[in-house]
Amino acid sequence: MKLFNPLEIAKGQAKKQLGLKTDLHKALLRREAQLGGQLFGPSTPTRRREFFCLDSSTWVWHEEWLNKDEIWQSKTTRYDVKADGVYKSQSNTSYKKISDIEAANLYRAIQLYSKNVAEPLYGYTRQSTLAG
Amino acid sequence: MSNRSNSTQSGEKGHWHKGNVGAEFDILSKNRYVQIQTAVETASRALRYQLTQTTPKQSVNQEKTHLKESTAEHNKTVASARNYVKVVLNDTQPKARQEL
Repeated sequence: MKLFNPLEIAKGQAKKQLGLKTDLHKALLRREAQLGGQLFGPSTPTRRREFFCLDSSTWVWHEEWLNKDEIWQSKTTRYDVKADGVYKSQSNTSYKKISDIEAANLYRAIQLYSKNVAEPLYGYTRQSTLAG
Repeated sequence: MSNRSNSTQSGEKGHWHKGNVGAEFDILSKNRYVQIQTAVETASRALRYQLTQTTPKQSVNQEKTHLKESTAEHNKTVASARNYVKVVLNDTQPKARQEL
């Protein structure tokens, strides 16, 4: 006769919950990335963009395009926010502070992200957030 | 406020209704909204700081470049004037000597 171990049941439930949370979190990030990419214009069959907030101090820009030889190319830029400014790292390149032009563009993109991505997706939680 | 948080748990142990996904979604959404707001504020502050810090430096650099260019231009003019004087002196001196 098989005995039910309450600890195993609890572990199973926790694992299930964690899996659900991870899946939901990934789904939310994917949706944000899609909407974020549209801030810079619509996607085309030969060019796709994604832009999203990874965590409270990291922003990610990902771009894919079809080159002349019809091969997909991609570039991912990671922006790390520090107290004295923003630093970026791209695939196989060094870590450096962004230029003033890029800083101004990123500033605009982040404001638009707040208005056109975060508000429509999660704005409904604002009341309950403020209420605690 | 959405009505997605109407979660219920059935009497059967370990079984979760679809309502639980809604509740989990609401919690994640709320946390995510707070995280994005924090990220936006932090990044905006850092970018404003970066832009205000580098702009005066850039102006100074631009001024320095302008001064360098002006000085170089001035030096060229002076050198050119000196050469002209030399040429004139060389041209006139023999004639003056001949006249003498």
